[in-house]
Amino acid sequence: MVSALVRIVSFAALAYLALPLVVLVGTSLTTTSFLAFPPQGLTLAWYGKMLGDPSYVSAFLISTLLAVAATIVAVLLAVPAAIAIARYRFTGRRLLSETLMSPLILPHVVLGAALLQYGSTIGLVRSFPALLVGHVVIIMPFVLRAVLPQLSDEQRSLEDASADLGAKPLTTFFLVTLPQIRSGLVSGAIFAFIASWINVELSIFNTTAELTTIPVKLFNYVQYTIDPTIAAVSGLTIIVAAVVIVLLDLTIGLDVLSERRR
Amino acid sequence: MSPILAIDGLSKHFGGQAALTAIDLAVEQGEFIALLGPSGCGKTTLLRCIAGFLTPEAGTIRLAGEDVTRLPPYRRPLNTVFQNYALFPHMSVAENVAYGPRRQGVARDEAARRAAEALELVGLAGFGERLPAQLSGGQQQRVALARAIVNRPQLLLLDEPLSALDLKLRKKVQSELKQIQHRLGIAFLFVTHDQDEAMSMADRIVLMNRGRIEQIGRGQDIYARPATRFAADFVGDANLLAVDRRGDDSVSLLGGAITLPAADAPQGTLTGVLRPEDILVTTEPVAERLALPAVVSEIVHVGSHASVGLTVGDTTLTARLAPSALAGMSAGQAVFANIRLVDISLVPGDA
Amino acid sequence: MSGVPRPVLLLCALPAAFFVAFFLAPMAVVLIASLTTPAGQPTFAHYVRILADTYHWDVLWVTFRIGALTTLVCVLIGYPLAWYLVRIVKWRPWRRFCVILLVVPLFTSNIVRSFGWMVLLGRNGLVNDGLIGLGLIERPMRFLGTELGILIGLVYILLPFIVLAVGNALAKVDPALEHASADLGATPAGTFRTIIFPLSLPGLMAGAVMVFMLAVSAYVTPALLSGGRITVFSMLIFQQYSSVFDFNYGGALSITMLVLTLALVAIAGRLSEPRRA
Repeated sequence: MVSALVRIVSFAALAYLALPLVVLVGTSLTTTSFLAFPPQGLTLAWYGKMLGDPSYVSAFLISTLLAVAATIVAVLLAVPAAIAIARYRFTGRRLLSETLMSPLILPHVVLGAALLQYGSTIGLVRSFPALLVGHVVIIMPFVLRAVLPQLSDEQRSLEDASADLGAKPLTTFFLVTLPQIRSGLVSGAIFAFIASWINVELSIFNTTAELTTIPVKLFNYVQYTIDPTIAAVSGLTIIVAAVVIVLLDLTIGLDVLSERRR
Repeated sequence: MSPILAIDGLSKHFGGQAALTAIDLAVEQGEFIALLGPSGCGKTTLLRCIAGFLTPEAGTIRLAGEDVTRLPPYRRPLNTVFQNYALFPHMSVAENVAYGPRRQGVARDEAARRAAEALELVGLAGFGERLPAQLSGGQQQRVALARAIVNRPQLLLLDEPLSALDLKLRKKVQSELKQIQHRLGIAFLFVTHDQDEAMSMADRIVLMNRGRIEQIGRGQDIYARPATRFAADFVGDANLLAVDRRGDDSVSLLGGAITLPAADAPQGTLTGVLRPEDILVTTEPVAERLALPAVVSEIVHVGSHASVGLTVGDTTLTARLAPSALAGMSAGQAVFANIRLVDISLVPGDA
Repeated sequence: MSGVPRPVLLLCALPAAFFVAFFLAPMAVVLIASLTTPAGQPTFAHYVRILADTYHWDVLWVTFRIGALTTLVCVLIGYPLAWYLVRIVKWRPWRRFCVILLVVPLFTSNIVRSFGWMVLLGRNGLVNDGLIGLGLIERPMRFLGTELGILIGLVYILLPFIVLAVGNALAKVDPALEHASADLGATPAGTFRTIIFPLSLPGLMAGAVMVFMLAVSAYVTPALLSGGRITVFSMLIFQQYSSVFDFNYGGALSITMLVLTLALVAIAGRLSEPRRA
């Protein structure tokens, strides 16, 4: 009885999760000039229109460039910090790790406003670097959270062995530490990339008509006009997300919910 | 008196794989039984069938005369000490122990009183407020025991309860367990892969292999008269000798050096079992024994005794000697292996 | 334990400097701005204005009500779904598919997800068509611009967080504990109540706190699904910075929101704190 109820709730919830995705991809294929679901006829014309619009293409490029740059900077900053936090005991260690993790729970609107206000005092506004620093702050926790658990104590003995065999610290890092944390680094970087790629709340304070990311462009557009182009842009981001996730599943495995039965 | 546990024709499969085949077993009240066997022999599967976590495909399990084969675990009047104790991490020691009585509908105060009593019995009075994670391995083991006996079950199942303890502690807990069992008069069914543990604790040993029972009996009886080749090999050390049949009523071993009457022996191929301590190694033949000429191939000292490798014809035997009996013996020396024919048992199976 | 070793300085200098420059300093600027006049004089006037204006109280009430309801609905749907995925689904490919379905929304922008609901919840959207088709309502229901519409959108966006948090906790419960509970005479319902639920509670609370934080501070979803009819607190902040340009007052609003959410989260954390060793 209870089990049947759980099943009903679950199927309803899964349908609820799938519905908007299906509808968006569906409407993007309609031949009508308004949003129709189920789509009437099938066409990729709206995707063509989107790709023909230079403002969409440039927003896509800016989003991608921003996400790539932010991810690289975040990884370069997060990995040394993670090593320090995992390998050393020092005054302020807890404070450091909690500060670095805190953007996860901070309202992004507040942070975006703060960066705008602060940036305007030092001349760092509405520019690519202004967007970049904000994105690095909010995505660093993803890298840190993924890498830290992999810097385990067992692994530490490998590093000691490497040092014992005469390797300098940097050699040890590249030959021993890095291969051990690679899977965490990859998944952390992917989550970080995505967090940057989909961000609106932070970016919106520092974008302009020319310098805009795809989510911000969509956000501004959706509030005034709705046509299947939007659905096509949305559809494309859904398809990209699905592909990334299937790739993630195949490489690092997303089956996080299987029971650990012996 | 009827047995507290009676198992008839129990079989269990996993997929197409037979895990238990035609198990028959009776446990008397107050008995201490060890289920002994190598890993994968089915002893834990049998325990889980009895506890109710697995349902067998065939056969019955009776507890105090009542058929419980299809009852869920929570309706069976027995309790279990789990391998890694399975203490509830979010409850204090006292709450863990009071859990059983509480589920039986015992009032909170009474359950707490019984829990305190059980904890005192296992020597953990005053530890009630702690969390399991704050206890040592040995203490956790006692909490698991207290939790399992607090309901005074008539049968207690123990799934390798000592395997997580170090050797010294294990010896100590073994004798304590035995005392507690004696005091409570509860039947214990104790799964282990450690033959010394089984030998020193159990009234009877149920020896299992490949999902079947090989032999049931007192430890010393299994050792002295193994019923199968597996029993001979698994319990204690044994020299396993190839056997040639000579007609219907006699067999020869060691390439004809020994002839034994075999009218009572089982049918089919046979193996001769000779314990290492039953071989006397001397430089001169010993009277009233069969003296086989042998050459010492190696001597290994193992503390309280020495293990001596002997070449007899084309067979290698192992003998166990007291260090004092080794005087002047060295590898390559010609000696006599003195044996008594009554010490050789014939069991079914290939050597 | 004393001081900071040299390697730590080398490793942490850049990340720490970056966070000071682009995280702590901006937050400090906001805090200072909220306590000063545009001319730079110290004042509590902005906070007094927030406290004195009943409009702000209304917006706060709406924001936290939506946040609390979102959290509640997410828990009520998410726990059974997590249970289903961890305990009931035996066929691995189906579970994989379900997990992917859970994660895909996390990887798509709030805009896209909210836009999907704008389409679905419109006057002639699929939801209204369906409800009319089923005979449950006669005329199209109004979703956009209602709290119900925002709730549907927020629950949709935040449900995966709770399912993943609870699912992880459930998957970690040692099956031996359930066996021990059954062995000691607990029925399946009793085992759930006394063992499994308490052990999954930290995961549930972590998920709920995350959902609540994100729901209260959400901007995009309410902005799109409110149709301008409902204002939540993050919209007030955005207005101050993007159209009113009153950074001092906006700072006070930001700090108010931050303090209120962190306080509520701290209370929730205290209430659910597991016993410490």
